[in-house]
Amino acid sequence: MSEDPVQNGAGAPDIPLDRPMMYHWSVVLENSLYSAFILFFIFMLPLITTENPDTRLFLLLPAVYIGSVAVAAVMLFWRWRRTTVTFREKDILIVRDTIFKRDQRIPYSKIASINVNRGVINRIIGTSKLMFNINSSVNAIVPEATVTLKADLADKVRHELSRKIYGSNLDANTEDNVIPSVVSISNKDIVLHALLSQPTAAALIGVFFLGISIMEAYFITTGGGTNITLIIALFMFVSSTIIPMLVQLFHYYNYKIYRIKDTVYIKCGMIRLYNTSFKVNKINAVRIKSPLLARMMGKYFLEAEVVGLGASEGGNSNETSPLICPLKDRKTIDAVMSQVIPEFVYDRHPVKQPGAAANTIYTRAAIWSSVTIAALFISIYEAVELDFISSNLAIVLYVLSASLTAVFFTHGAFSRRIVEMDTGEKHFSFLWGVVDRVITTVAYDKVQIVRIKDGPLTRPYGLAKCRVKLLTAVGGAPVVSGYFMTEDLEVIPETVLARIEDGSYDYRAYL
Amino acid sequence: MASDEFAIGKDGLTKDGYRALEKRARTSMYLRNLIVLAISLAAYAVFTSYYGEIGLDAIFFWPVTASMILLVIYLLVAPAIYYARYRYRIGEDRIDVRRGVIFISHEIVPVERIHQLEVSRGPIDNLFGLADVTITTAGGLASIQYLEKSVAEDIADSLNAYVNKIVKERS
Repeated sequence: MSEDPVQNGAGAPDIPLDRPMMYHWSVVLENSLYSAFILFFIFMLPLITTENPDTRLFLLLPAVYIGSVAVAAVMLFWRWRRTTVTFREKDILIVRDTIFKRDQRIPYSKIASINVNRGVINRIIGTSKLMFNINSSVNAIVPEATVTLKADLADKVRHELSRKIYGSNLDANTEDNVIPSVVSISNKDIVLHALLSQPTAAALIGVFFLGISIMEAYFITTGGGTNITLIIALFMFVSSTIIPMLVQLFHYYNYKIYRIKDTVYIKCGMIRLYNTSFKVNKINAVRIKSPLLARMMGKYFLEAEVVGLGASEGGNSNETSPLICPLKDRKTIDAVMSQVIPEFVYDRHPVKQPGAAANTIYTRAAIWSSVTIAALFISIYEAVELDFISSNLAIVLYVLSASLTAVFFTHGAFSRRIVEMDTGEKHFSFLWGVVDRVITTVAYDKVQIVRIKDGPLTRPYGLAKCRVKLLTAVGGAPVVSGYFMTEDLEVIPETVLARIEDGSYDYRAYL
Repeated sequence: MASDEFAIGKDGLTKDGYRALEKRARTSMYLRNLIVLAISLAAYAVFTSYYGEIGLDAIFFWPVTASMILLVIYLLVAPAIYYARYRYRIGEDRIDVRRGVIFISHEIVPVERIHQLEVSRGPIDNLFGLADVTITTAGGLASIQYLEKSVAEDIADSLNAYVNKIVKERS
């Protein structure tokens, strides 16, 4: 099908610089199948779901569907024929000469990451998708360009560009077979990670809906209950708990991580293979996370927030930051940090929230518990009035609602003791969370905007909260402090500015 | 209303060198809030006329009414407090903005991080000769609102010149 000698394997073995190449023809097949899938929902699903449709529709809609798919396929074929990619000395040039003309240049110096992604169709046909991301704030999530090539050619291109961008001289074979992972991760670890790395709230929601499903199934067997309640409860359980676990499992299966010079490489994937690489200087922040269940087993995991690392195609839209180490004990996490991202290791001297923060925390707990209890009491009262629940059940619910006060105050007491901050020379860190805890370590040089905020509950004690905005990145999460003295928080913007002023911040280090 | 931190001296600056907004900025805030108030009261009037008819129980009436009273108080009082607490400073290395009614935020943007500047004016701003400066960094947006139009343009020009200088030095 392809007329390109390089794609046919008849061209030069190395990447042909300065010669326009067409994408692999499989891109037409893949996009046509995707179009067929979408068009199916538009044209065919209404036909299937409509009861007793007009018989003419049985002929018309499938014909329209097939025609639309054919038109889409022809257009995709035409677009494929008229799109070329050229790997030049200093940049990638992508030219599309269709109705919507495109002439895109991506300088190698601006590329933050090159990722290889192989889905099912790619693996059957023997192709790979090369995904290029640049250091852009507006395009941090979606790859700047996706180029589909034969797998061996894609590997060569990736390694040639890695050599140009990162200075790596290793070929794909050496990488795969010789370089060991920094940390030994078995697939059992990945299963454990998939099970225990979920936020506790999501796990509780999952358990709640599982409980409802079981109860409803029991009621159905005893003559009560409804199928629709069972289906909804099961759907909620699967979507809130099972799917996120499976996504993690499929994504991080066969996990391997290593670092060559200043570049971190991550390889993983069960069905779709992910090959991710990024320069260490593109890391905004690193997070050591410990959901409650994992922490009870002494396990933590390590993520990095990386600028210009696009969400992997085929992954979920809420793609998280790249995983540097799945759930492991703290000693292993520290060792991995020292080997993979030693730039973020520093001697921490964290400080807890000051004593005055207790006033703010407990006042907040009192306000929130009052508001919540008032809302619940009114709801229960109304439910009794409308005969939705019995008065005996109402008493139980009143007591349970009142006991929420204890939950709010206990949460406050733990928060007072746990939340901490630390300001180092090049980095600062915040520990946040009571049930699920996160230690976020941020480089001052990545800070874009600092917002220090006080309110009626904090101002009398000279306390404030700090929110830091970093370079936009996939999986980026808010960096927020607990309640600290305003002057302690102001150290953060002052250090950012001082590093710019005294030349400690060198923009070239982050290009 | 404003503490020492926000007090303006004879030189038109706070003790830390922050500037305040022009008085017409406060009038502009009042006008905006009055428009919001008019819309909110109209919505409330519709609610009180029809809540019984559309099947909403009386239990909804008091929370909505209480929220409406709080909103009216806020909309009438907020401009004076916001104006009194709004302070900004364009330093050589940073842009500082302090603002807020109930919560006071202190926003610091290093000038070095600025990518783009934009001066924008809406119809109410035009009426009072005001403009907003929106500062774009690689991590998000910050803004200085309710500036006199000429002041906004001067700030944008001087910061733009600085940004262009940095770009030239680095290219």
